[in-house]
Amino acid sequence: MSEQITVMINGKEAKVPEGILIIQAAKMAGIDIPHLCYCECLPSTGSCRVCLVEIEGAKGLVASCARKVKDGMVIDTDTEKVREARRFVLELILSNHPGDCMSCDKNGACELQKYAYELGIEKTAFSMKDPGYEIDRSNPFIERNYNLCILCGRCVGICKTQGADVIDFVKRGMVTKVATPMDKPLQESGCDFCGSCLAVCPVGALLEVDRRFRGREWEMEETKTVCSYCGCGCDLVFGTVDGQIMRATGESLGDFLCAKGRFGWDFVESSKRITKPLIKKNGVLTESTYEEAFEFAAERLLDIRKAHGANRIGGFIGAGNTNEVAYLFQKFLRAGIGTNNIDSSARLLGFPALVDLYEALGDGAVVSMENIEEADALLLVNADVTVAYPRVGVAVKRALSNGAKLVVVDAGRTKISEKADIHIQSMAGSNEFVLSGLLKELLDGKVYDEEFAKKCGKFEDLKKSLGKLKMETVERESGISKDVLKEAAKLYGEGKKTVIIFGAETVSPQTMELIADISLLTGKTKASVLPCLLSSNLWGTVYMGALAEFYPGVRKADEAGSDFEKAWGVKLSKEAGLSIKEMLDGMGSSILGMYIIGADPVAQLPNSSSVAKSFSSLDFLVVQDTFLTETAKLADVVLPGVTLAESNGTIVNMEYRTKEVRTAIEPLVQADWETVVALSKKVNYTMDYSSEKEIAKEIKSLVSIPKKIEKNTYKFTLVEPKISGEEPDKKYPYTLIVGETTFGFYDGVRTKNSKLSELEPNMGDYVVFNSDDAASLGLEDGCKVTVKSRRGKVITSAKILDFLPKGMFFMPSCHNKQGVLSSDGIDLKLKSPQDRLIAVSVSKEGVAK
Amino acid sequence: MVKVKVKEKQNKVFICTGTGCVLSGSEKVKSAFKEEFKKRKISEIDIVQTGCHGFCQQGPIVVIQPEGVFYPTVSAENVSRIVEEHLIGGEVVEDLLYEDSRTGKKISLYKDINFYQKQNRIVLRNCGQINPEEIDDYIESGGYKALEKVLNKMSPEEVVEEVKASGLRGRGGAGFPTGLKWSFAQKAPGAVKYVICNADEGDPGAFMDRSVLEGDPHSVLEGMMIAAYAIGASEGYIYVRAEYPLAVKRLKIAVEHAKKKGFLGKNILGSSFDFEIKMKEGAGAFVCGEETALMASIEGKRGMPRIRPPFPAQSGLWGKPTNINNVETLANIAWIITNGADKFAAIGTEKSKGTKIFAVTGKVKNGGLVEVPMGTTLRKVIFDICGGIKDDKKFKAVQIGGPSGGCLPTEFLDTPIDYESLTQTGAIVGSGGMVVMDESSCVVDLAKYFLTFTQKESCGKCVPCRVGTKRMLEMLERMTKGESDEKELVLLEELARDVKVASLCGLGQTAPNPILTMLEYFQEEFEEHVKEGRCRAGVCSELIAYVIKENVCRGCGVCKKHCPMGAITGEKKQPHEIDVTKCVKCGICMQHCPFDAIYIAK
Repeated sequence: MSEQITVMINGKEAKVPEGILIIQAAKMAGIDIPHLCYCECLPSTGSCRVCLVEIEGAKGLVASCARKVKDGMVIDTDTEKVREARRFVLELILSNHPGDCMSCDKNGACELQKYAYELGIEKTAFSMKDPGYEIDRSNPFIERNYNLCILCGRCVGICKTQGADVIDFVKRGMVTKVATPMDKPLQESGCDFCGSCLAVCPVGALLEVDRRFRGREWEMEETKTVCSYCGCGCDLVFGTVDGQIMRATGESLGDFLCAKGRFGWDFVESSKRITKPLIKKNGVLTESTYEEAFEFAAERLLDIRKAHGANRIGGFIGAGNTNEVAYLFQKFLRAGIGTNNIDSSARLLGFPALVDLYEALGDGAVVSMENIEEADALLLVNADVTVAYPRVGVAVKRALSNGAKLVVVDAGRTKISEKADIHIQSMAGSNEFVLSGLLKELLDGKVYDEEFAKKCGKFEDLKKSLGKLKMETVERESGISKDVLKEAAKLYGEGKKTVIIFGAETVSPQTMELIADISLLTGKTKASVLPCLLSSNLWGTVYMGALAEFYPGVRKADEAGSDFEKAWGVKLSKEAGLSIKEMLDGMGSSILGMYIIGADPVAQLPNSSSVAKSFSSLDFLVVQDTFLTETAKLADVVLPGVTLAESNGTIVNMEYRTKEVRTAIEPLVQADWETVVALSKKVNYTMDYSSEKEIAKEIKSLVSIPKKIEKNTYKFTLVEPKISGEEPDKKYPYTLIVGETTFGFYDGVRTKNSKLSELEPNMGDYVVFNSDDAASLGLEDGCKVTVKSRRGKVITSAKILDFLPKGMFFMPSCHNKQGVLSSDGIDLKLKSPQDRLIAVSVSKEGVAK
Repeated sequence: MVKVKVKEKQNKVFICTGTGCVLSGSEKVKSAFKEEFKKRKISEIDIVQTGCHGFCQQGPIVVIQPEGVFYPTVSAENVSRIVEEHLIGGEVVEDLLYEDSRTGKKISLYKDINFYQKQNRIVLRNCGQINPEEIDDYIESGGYKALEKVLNKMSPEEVVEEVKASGLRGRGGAGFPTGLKWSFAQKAPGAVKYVICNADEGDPGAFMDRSVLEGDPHSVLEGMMIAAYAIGASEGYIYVRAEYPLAVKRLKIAVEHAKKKGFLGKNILGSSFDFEIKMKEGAGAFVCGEETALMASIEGKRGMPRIRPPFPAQSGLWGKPTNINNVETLANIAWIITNGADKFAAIGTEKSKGTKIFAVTGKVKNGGLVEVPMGTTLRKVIFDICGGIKDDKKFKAVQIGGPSGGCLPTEFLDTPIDYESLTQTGAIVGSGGMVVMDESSCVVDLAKYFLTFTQKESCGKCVPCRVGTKRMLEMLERMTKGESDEKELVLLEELARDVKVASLCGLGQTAPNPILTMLEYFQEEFEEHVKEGRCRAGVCSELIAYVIKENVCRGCGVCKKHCPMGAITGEKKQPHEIDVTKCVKCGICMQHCPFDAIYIAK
């Protein structure tokens, strides 16, 4: 806490902390000094000259946004001299402004208008002029009208601090303008469309395209909820007018949202949403009533149970639903149907290996964005943070601007790797070798905490095992020299506050174990490892018991069964639940009926043609979703689902924070929980809830989502490094890496139905080749290519970009073409597929090989 | 006239290769000398290229040493005569000598010319006297002795004290005490500090820094080295305009030579002082002369000023304590150290010590660089040293301090030029630009000229400067076209005062100075423009008309032939007429009329 000093503001004494700006001190004293360029989330530039004040003894007027308070300072914020200067500046600004407030969306919320009104400017003394810039409406999200721009520079500032740094002032004098390099359209400039510039623009120069002419600021109702995309789970405030979403913003001015968060909500209003229940009649999905659909679905499920037993039925839920829906869904299956066959897409995105990690490190694996921002050394393993988990990306960038060191382990060049002190560009799939090498270098280079390491289990074994590891092997398998690893070990090891960040869906369970080992060896166990989670409620879904291994509270099924029998008042099956992989293998024989909520396993699961075949062999399939997904197309009954914008409840984000989801608009269809409850009633298991709150109350009585993980095992795991993913051979000589893109997301269900897809080239239907490979394969940008794997082949188009080394190609996951190619070989320990590295061959379409 | 006996063997031919003389043809003169020497097989006479002599109006300048015989406006054709008659024959070529404009007498020696006689050349001590591309020339004339002295005999604190005692103030414009500035940087905590030489001279008409860089680059380097030693910096930057290619070239040579001689690098002259100098060429923005914009530009950012505090001495280049001085300031340092602060402080006035270089341009007889002690009057500079007004017209005003300065009328001619006296008048010393106007200059037009410059060079960051200068310019444009009114004249003054108060950096804070002083001292002339639509100087083209006097015109048709607009009609031998609707008032007709039959109606 800084010291308090005394200043006089407008004749009144005020106690304020030392070192703050005059404008902040005045705010504390209840005085709002007019300002345009100043923004509390940005460094001051002092450029608009509206916040001028008088300070006793100072030469001339002083910009209060750029001068710090001093003890005894006498400040006048509202003298005639000050008002005159402000009026003068505003008149000058207005003299270069079209003044068409009548049709401006910012009318009523415009800061220029506000101060012009407050200072009583009826008309500028200088003639008003329209600078005559053409309005840029070439992208789907941000309308740029530089005729309204007052050159305050807020957008430039925020783009530097949390955007892609693609805009700055160009030219001089009156023709000064904000522009991208070479004044190209935003979509061609490298802009990530985080839209932070929109949030800080004080006037109408930058506006959400969707909002134009649909409602004024004062008509807007605001609802604070949570973004439904990745596991960052950012706070989102929806502004709605007459039940329609106008825009999404962060909670306060400087809060970061990515393109998906700020603009990608429009799928909610897509005309392709499922609005009525559908029943397959003569092979065609036909609209029906809820009652009819429930009757039909319940009857078929009960038939299967009666004829073959409850364990012939299974369920699968996406990790983007609320805790309440996940809980209810597994309760429906376990208690209502009587089966433990329940799994979720969490299995494809890092679980249950992550449970082991949490148990190994305890709260060491609970990391907040602030922890990252304050770190002095960061190690990123397979985490394309600015693309896949953008809020983490911003935190990393902020840490870097505070002077943090960065080591990146990634086969490809990313926006973050370009800022790294060391980029370990290792061969795809060789993470385990790289991290084993790092561990060995930490140990041999004595960059570790011996005292702490000794206290952890199996330290001697670890030393022995690392002693046997040959660095030549590491070098051969990863393509990285040991000197680089030594340097990286030093950089990370010498950090005082460090965080290891990894993409949970991209690494092997053994990689997670190695990461835990590094954390323990260096004694960095406080908020030190962040698994980046791709789905908005991964942790919550697992915690609610929607993974085969666990009952709610991450409790082993065999131990917890009796507690839940008591709570739910029914006898529960003693049989262990099947994972989705096991269910797939059994479809048509041991699994006959499936219930899916908010997930598209046919598109998501590897080797999708065989998955589709398996699903087709089911006796009965009911799918509850917002869109007619690949899985829904195969269903016998389709129940309409809601989006997070229409839901109430909670989720748990990757920081381990429980966040509240609130309904921003009137749900288009019946809420998911109500649908599950209704279906349950039809299978003669009554779940009596009147609202989500009651479900939440029940959850709370059974499990508590701990705010802090207290237990930790602090034990080293001995890992023998292996190459993860599918290894190339002569026939399939290349490695296809499947990953996230800036404007696409995971299974693409939402982004495909959003204007985001307009920014993703070919809606994500492409493969990226580097120019060397393109040349040797005879490919040119945009040409059609056939990509073949051991499972199948797809035709897509080629995109030539140099960010991966030779022999490695990239395919966006959001178009779901990788499903045909990917391997369903599973990790036996985890029953989860490793589907992001695929051995492939490539040929130009139409050319015989 | 003194006859000079020439001693053949010791002769050296000094040819000025400053930018002014190069433009007027000194390279050709140099080649002609070489050619002539070759032809006559002369090998014992050296041809030395020197920097600027400051008397640029008289270029190309050739000086025959050691006597110092001064030949102005030498052409290649004159060279054979100088060689033949002077270098071989031992007689000065009288008709090629400089003629005093007041007395009409020929003067042979450099030092006897009035223009130089009345100056006190400290900063320009070596300009024109040495070859700027030879470090040995600089060393021979006492160069690097000051560096040697501080490294051997003085502590950094003593150096700062010495500079403080000299009373030297920044020559870049603001006049901040240099020693005090150094002490701030010296006291600022930090292991890494920087010294920057601001060589981004940008005032229209000012070229003293260029001349020093071109004529005596080592004096600037030596100043930087001493500053670095004093504040504890081991790295320095010279931020120089890319539009000064010769200065850039000579600085680069000088830095190379200084490295070779061990004045730059590690353990300089056997001491523990390390210093390196890097060059950064500016891309041509006037505002980059402002120190915070300059530093941003060195860092590779857009050259825009930022708010101070923090001052560069606390947080400058890359956030480190930084000392920035201008070229002229730095060129004084070695002299002060060598000759002592007392000697420097003895020159000038109580609060303004030493000398200042002025770049005198406009309607004077002898324009050029003039270095005089602080406190010299405007009258002495304009009428004595520079020989008064061209064509003996009447003095009207002098714009002093460039586009940030003020415009002073006759009654201020006896004002001593020092920081305080000039500030009182509303003008500033500034970088030392002096534009002299006679009665044929229009102040409204001049105000427009300077404002066109400042508004174009405004970086666009703060509102008052970006928009305010533009609005002022628009008003002035209307005034010169007769489209304005008295209300606007009042608004102009208000606007000018507000821009001055509300702007972020020095550019905007001083941009209204010319207008404000002109409004104060030439109110009447502004009023004539707005009330009567009259320009008494006959400059504002929209307010004048070219008229042919019927009774004088002989109908020769010359004007008609030259008129680019075809605005003149008339039969041969009959009085001609100008069609005002076609006339663009270029004045070509008047220039060509052999009978003075065309006049300007105001």
